[in-house]
Amino acid sequence: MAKQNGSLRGYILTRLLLVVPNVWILLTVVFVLMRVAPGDPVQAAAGGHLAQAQIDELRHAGGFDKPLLVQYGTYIGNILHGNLGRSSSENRTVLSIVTHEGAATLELSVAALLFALVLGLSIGLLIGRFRDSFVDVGGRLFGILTYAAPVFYVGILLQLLFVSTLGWLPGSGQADTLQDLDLITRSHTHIYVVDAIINGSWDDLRNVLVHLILPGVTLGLLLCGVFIRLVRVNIIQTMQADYIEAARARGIGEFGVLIRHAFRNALVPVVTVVGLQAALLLSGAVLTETTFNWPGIGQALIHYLNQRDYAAVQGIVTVFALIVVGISLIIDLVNALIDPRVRY
Amino acid sequence: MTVSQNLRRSLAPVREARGLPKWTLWVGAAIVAVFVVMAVFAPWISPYRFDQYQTGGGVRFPKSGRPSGSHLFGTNVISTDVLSHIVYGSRTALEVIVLAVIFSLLVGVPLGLYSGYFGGWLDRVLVLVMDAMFAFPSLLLAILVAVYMGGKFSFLGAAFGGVMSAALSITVIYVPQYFRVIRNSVISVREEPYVEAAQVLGAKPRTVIGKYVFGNVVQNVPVIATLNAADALLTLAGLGFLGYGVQPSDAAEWGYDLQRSLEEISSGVWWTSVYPGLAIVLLVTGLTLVGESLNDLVNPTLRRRRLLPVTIADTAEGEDL
Amino acid sequence: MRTASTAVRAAAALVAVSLVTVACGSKSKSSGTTPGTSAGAPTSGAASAPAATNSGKTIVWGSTDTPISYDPAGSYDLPSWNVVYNVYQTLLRVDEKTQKPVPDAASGCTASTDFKVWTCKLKPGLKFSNGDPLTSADVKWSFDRVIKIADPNGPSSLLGKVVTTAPDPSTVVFTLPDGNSLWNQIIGTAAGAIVDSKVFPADKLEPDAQVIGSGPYAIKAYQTKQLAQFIPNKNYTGDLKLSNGGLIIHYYQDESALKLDLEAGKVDVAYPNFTPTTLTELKTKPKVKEVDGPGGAIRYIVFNTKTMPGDTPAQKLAIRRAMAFLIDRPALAKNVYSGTVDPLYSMVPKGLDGAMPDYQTVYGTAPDKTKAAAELTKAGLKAPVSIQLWWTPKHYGSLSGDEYTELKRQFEASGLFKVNLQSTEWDAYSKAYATDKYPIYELGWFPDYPDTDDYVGEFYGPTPFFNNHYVNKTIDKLLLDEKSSTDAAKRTADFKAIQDAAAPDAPTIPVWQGKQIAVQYGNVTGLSDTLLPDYIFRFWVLGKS
Repeated sequence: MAKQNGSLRGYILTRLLLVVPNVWILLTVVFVLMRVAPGDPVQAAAGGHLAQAQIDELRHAGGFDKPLLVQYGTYIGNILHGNLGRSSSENRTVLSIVTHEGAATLELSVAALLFALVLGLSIGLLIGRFRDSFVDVGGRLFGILTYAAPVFYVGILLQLLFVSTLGWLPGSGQADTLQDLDLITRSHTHIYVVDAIINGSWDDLRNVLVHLILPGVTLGLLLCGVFIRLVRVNIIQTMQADYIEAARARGIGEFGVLIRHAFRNALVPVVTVVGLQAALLLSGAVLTETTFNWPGIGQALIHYLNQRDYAAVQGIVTVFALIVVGISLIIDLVNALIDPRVRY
Repeated sequence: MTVSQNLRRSLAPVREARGLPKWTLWVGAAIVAVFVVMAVFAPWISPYRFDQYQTGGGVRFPKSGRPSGSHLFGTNVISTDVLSHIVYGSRTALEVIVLAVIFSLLVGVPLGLYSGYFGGWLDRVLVLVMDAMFAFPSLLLAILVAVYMGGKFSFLGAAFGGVMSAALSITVIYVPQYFRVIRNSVISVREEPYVEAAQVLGAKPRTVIGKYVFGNVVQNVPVIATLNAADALLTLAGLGFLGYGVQPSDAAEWGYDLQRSLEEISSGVWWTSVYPGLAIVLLVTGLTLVGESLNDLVNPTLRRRRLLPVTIADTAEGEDL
Repeated sequence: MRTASTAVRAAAALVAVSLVTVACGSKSKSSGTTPGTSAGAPTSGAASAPAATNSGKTIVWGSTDTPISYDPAGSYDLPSWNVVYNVYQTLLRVDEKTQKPVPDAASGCTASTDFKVWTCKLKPGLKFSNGDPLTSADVKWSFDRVIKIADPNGPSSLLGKVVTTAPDPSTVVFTLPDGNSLWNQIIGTAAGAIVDSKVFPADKLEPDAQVIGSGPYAIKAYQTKQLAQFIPNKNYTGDLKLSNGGLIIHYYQDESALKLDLEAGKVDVAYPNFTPTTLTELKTKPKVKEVDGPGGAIRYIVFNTKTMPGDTPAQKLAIRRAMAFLIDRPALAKNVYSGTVDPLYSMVPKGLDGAMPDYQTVYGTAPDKTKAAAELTKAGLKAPVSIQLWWTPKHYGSLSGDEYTELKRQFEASGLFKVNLQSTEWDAYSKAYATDKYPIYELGWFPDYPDTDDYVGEFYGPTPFFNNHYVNKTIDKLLLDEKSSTDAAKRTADFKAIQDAAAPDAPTIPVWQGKQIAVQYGNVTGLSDTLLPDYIFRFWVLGKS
């Protein structure tokens, strides 16, 4: 027993130490990627108007021609001081981008995750239970379709149906102008749903929720396919497990077995995967936000990329990379505590 | 044992397939085949060229015209035929997919073989770098590479140059995946008795890798390749949608067509978005069906009872965008 | 001038087209508006109409162009300047009717004969929206910080090496090392906006939501790329009358959302610029009205006379001329832009001093296959001639791709050319064309100030900014002549002669000229009063009944 505790402690320690090179390499990759892309804000802004010599002068004045190593040192140094930098195409800090646009993306992601979990778990459960049957085929096909349909295509179809044809729902933005203004003026967390509740403004809340439906469903469907497959696989596996046989033998009804035993066990890996989906979520958010004009961090990323505002892009991606490292650390630690097989 | 023998062996389950997997395999294969035929015979199948904007007599096609007798799927905002864009678009899609898969294989597989077999510091560094790239939002990675590639392949001619840089941007995403999968399976194969026996008998690493390891690892490749092909198409469409893919003057590309349709959907123009999107969905579905069925057949993990976490990791990797 | 996201370059608005030359033509010591004229009787207006008493309605303005900064030291783009002109005062401002500089914060400015020393007198009793008094120290502070901060997105290049002093609280003296007869125009741009020295730091930008000015409006709420709310400035002492009770700008990331909100009446005014498809569609909607104004943005094709196809100068010339004969501008304007742009037959757009439609005179409007073929045959070239034509996605608007597809169609329809279209993203593109990488390529231009010199002076002469190696001694001489002259008639004649000399050589082919297009919903008034050549969007003229 003592030895086992020792190995657990050792594992956790090693895992924590690994975070340092992990983060360092990730930051370096971010930096290199930002620098291999050609151009800089000065070229983007002054090109096509000034002669190349004048552009180079401006670039020098802005410090964009410093040696790469110096820029790299400054970047890492600033991160260590918690300084994410400033946008070079707008008068704002990366921190304000992360707190404002990030809040909008968080709101969208949570809505999408909730939708995906509810739909994905129930479908996965169902088709896992009725494996290789008609239900299974239908469910799996649905899973494949949610994966096969590009997010923006789903978004466009939903807009065609609910906005252009039926006119039931708004197809863009996070709120209407007046509600938006109210929420900006009386902002607490920058998360509109939360702010509306804090302000006790039900009109704002209704408006915000209505705007959340289509983007939430669109992004949710993307994640949903992943959950369906996972749950199905895990249900199939757990249903074959010995303890399920035992439960059956004890005369517990099939539904009870499914929910109380199989489902609970299948849920653990799903929760793990929710964390691992962070990268998928951001790629999906970029496309969903672009389709629905959602003022989140994905749309901001494309905006700054189009502006060649690598300072902002670098800052946003850095934050994102840190989140990914953090999540994978937490998952690994939790898994190590639950499942002894994970430890080396 | 030669590679072809290995391939034949790895394809054996396909012949032996029964029931649902067989059925989905053939449906998927049929869908893919339709698109391959469209791509190869595009000039004969398509009613017009993808960039054709007027009849032989010089009468201009309507701008965003409704579907009609002469334009079954209507025309789009640049007065070209939507159906022709779909037919020629499959050519662009398949070119990019095939190139992307080949490039990722060429880079990912040797790296994975080397890293898995020899280990050492290079292995550690590769694993760290690949993991870092894996954690990076893939679409962004592709966009950055696309920006970097822009115009670099103009010597290949505009049409193929665009396809080439799109394929390379997509390759960057999948190299880490091949690397991971190959490296992991090499590590497990390396411990097999027959490999150890060969090593003990004094076979050179090259021989061991070529003869024994590669053959056993390669059977995973068709599965990953098909699944990645589906994913690559989605990435290509995503790039096109954001304006970083194949440029419209070079070739027909569905993602770009969808982006152009955005400005029109509020005007009730549905045919420029519904049809190209449907093409994407169908081809991705076809490829996924093939890949999944192959996975079920070649790798029947679900039938044996494996350790839970391994399955999760594999599934998650295979699906990550 | 810097671009925001797309082709729409911001206007520096050095004021009225030909009036610029007229204003500087006289060698009088005072330039701009002399103190004591009727336009410069400020206090009467201020006393009678404090802005706060205006009970007009709030206007909602939707825009797809997002600003870079509301701090004048950090902005040199149209969407930012649209706000700066309304939140801050400048010493002189551009009068909407005459398009001439009139007093704003200053009661007048005078120049020395060599235009090296400019002296401005401030009006009494000026205040910022937070109640701080506005003195000459604030003016000095404002000009100094623009130059000190030298933000890459800022207008420091416009101010140059000016030295500002404040000898007493109501006097500002500018000393220009090189002398500049246009200085009264420059201080009227947003680069000369006066900021509160107690609020704005000297060496960095003030956060956009907290900027303070003395203009007719004050900022109340702001969220970047989303919304901005402006209310009448209670402390405004100027003579502008507000026709509304405030203004909200809603920044949209894509135009389909803006279009839907406009149709639904959630937005009163949309500007700038919808794509042609959307505009055509919007025109059919009830209560929606399009309002046009003049525009100085142009698009053109450049030939690199060194690297373009053709073995001899004569062959190169033949290729250029043949292409000039083949281009069909009206078809392009109609098919790609649905008539939202005008065909352009000179590198100087219509409406500017001395603009001559020379390409129309030399090459005609309709494509002429016979003449084009004759050019090629004469030079010993065999059709089809292969050319590589470069364009760039996004930077010049989403329709660049369509435009070049259409141009390819036009050149190839003759059977005389085989066009290989090539594209690159803007960063690589803007470097490559300037370094002889592209033989034939697309470019666009937006003037810093709407004077003909800002076109011809940049495109021709020994060192055109796009570096296409075209040399024409006649043009060089005419340019020198024009630049050293203040005589309007003489300059106009020079401008005409330059265009006449360039057109037969076709070192560039002008393609089209844009317009300012705004769309309004319902009974919005005053919109046409602000779509002017100076590109200043005046909030105060907008009203709603």
